[in-house]
Amino acid sequence: MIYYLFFLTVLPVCIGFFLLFLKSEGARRNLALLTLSLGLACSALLFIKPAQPVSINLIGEYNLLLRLNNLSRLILIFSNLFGFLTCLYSLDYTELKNRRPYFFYLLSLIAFSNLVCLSADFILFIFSWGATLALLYACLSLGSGSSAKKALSIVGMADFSLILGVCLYIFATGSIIMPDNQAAKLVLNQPLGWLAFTLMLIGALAKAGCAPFHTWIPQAAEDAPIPVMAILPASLDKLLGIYLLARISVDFFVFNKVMAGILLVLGSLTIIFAVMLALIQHDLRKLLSFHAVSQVGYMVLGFGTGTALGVAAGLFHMINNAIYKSGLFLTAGSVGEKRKTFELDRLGGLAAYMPVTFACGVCFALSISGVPPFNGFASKWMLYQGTLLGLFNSESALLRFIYIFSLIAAMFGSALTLASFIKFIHAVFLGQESSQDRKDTTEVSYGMRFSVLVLAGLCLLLGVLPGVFLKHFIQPWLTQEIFFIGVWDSALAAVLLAVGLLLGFIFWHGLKGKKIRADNFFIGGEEPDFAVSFPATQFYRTIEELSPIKRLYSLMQLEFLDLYNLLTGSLRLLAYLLFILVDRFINLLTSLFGYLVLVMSWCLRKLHTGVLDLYLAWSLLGLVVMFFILMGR
Amino acid sequence: MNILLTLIFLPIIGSLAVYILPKKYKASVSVFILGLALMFSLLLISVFLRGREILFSRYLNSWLSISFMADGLAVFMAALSLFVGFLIALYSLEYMRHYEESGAFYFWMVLFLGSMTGLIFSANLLLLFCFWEITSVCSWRLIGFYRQEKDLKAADKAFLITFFGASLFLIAIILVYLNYGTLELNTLRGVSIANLVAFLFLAGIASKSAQLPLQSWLPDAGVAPTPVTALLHAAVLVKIGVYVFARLFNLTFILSPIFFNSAICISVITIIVAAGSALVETNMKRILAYSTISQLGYILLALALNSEISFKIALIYILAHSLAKAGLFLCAGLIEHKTGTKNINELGGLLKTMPYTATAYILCAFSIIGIPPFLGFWPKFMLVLLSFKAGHLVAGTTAVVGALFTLFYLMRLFERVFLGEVKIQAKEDARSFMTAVVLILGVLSLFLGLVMRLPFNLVNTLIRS
Repeated sequence: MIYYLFFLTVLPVCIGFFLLFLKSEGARRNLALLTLSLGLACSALLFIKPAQPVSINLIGEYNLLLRLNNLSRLILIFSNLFGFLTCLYSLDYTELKNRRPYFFYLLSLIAFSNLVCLSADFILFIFSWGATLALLYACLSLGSGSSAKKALSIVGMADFSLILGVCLYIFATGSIIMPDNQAAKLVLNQPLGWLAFTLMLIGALAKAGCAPFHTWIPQAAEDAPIPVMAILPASLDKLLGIYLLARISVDFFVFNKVMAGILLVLGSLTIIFAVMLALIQHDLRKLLSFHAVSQVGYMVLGFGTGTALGVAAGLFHMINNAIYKSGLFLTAGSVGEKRKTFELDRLGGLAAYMPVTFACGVCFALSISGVPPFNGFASKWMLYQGTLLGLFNSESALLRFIYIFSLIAAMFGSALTLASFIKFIHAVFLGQESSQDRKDTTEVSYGMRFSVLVLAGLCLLLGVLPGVFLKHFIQPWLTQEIFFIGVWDSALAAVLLAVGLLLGFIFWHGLKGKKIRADNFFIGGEEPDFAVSFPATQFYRTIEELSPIKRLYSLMQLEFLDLYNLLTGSLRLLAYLLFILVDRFINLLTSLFGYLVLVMSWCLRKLHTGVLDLYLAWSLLGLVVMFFILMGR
Repeated sequence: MNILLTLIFLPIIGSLAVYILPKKYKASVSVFILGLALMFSLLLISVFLRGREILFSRYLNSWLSISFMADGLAVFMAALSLFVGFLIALYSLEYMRHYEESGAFYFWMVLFLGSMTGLIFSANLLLLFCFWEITSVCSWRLIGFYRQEKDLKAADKAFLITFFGASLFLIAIILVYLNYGTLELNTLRGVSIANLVAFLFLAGIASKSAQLPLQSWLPDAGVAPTPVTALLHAAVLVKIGVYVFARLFNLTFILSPIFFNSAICISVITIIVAAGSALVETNMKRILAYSTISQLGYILLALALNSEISFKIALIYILAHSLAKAGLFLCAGLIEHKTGTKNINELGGLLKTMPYTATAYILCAFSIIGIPPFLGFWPKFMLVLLSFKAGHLVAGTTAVVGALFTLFYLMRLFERVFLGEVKIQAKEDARSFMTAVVLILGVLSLFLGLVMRLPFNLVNTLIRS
């Protein structure tokens, strides 16, 4: 394990630091890629053959424990995979060309997220978790400082909440080891337990990007370089956040109905809220970031169902989402790389020039919308089944209502996601080119293409053969067998779809023989003006403009509902109160004391005028007083 | 033993030499003396690790004797103070170059470090008090360095508040003598004292380490030149209070739980009030001064938990805080030096022209906030854990809330000064000592946190009792 530890955690940080001082750009990139591929290989080896746990003494009776369990080795291998692919992609990304710290940040990020997976005690877990926060800030600061600060504030607050929750948990259970599958869980029957649960939940959800802690993601999307968006909010943060959520809801606490209710409600609200905001976006990156938030809702929903199927669905969706979300961001990056813009209004018609990017983009878009035979459908299908199973098993009417609401929200969210991505595909790839000068837009480099193709391939593979993936990657962690209640054979469906497409292709090819006349547009002698054509950004305008929905949108975008502003505002208020009521008050008392001394000295000064008569009068007064005292005895 | 005596008296006598020497040699000779003292302190650590405690005693009468003792706590504090002092002296080579009176500056600084070392190694309460007062005088002269009206007022306020605390401290010393007939710390080990005496000692400690309600002098002391603020009021002088707390209450006397619980209360209130105040202020140095007050509250909390692990955690906290806070103050000094203002509302957009300063600031700030993998994370997290373990839930929660405040006020400073539009132009000199020193402090804060076992092992080896 020590050797694995070295390659997975120590080596990337050291190499990354060394890269800061390397002058040659090429050497820097190659070394980074090499290190990450070593990490990927190690994680694969660890997945196949688990290693012995390692214990390091910190201080006193506190020992750090490094051990993989069935869930963390899944996270380990996928986080290394995404790190590797993103690194490969960013080798040719022009915006990052002269940003020296980028590879250092990327390597350290992967190193610390590996450490999160390897942690089996709370101290090391918090250490590595917090380090990913520092690196989140560092990576986002490559874009703009203020969005980095917002992310730091929100996720930092969540981290502190996690620390508090963890300390409460340790206080309640008495052990710093993170409970594993069969170990004793904390029962939620007293306030301390609930407090610990809530605080830890906040920590997990803010990292993953669930509402109401999500506002840092769209803001970051505005300025951060695309590879940073692809690795952080899209994949790594989701993997780590949902990993923690999984441990909390399954390992640390005994699952109960209230927990289910909270998770279901949060999940469904996130789905709906975020996807509605995504529908009105005009910037490609913000659109994708809102969808990233929305998809987290599905994962949280899965854990809220409380069934093995639902939990497995949540985990499966986490993996799938990471795959297609990072794929989408990388596709967007390719588009931005060539077109230098992310505005949907200024893009279009790129399918002709960037066929590989287009094909992969369509693949990811269909995945996220939940269209078979892609992986998004497989996990959403499992999710619906899990929700129904939970519905059948629940007794309380309120909980049943919440289950039904969640199911409707999930399906409605899927529909809106599809709508949004039709707009995405049309605006970016289809339609006429909207720019006047038709620059030569070519396909991106091989490295960038390779990363995107691998991800698209995974989408298809996991969609066609989800059973295999579930059996080897997810089932080992669950105590119960996953039990499907619906009828859907992915392999058969994929084959049928392929056959259908093939038949269609044959028909089209066969008919191609007939000559089709091509001619110019004729609109009564006018010149065709494509400015009045129907751009994709206008697709849902009618719905947007509907009065109740318009009011809903303006409400959702209110500044003060942003948790960040609420948090900052309340902290500042508290700070003012503490400052004025305590600190300034004490300062006032101190000044008063000094003033008192001055007053006393003024009085005494007035008594010592230097005039002899006054002193004689004082002495006489003293003599009289003494006389009276002596007489009184 | 000789090393110990040299270590103490070299800076003290050296300061006289600095006073006498002609102006062009003062700065470099001071740096040399401090470097030499630093080497001696490191030598002392190695000697200490081979043997055990080192003792030197010259009996004068029943209440005063020239006794010095070097144990784990003392050598740690001495090495740390001299290291930070040496770095700050390097920094001030360039910072103070343009001032005519800079000669007096070096005299007071070296004298201060000498008396600090004397205090750390003192094994007699009255001797400790003498050195304590010498440091107060040094602080008084250094705060009022610029000799303007407001500087003198701030210096007087600082001196008077710390003198008030010191007077109460002296009363406590007298009471101890009346009860036990001796002031030797070695003889007094394991002796129990009354709550009243303990609280009188605590008053002195609170005044020196700027805990509520005797904290108002520290923010005002920001009028001093930056090396002074960094050395005295961030890294070294304010640590005297917590050092004496550790020496008296954790290692010497036996006290009642009431006392420790009261100390915990004071520290908790200090943490949160100072953190809140820092979020309101707009003067860079005042923000950092309040931050110091808040962080000292954390250290006091760790010591007041009175267990072996919490004692070691407090030492690591002192290490982390001294390095990082000195770094922050020196960054602020760099900014003030180049722009001429301390008000964050008048600054902005300095990231492009002062990247090294910004990097050093972030590195030090993250350490103070307690974000891993920086050094400041470990003691803060362990402190919360230990507070909960000891049953002080409110203290632990306040510690976390205080950390949240710290995040906000330090990042607010960063955002106002380095991000946004440029209001006052400033460009840093990448090759100067000043930039090098702040970067060293920043990198150390990161590095020592990454090699997490190193500071823990160090403290474990030094403290064996």
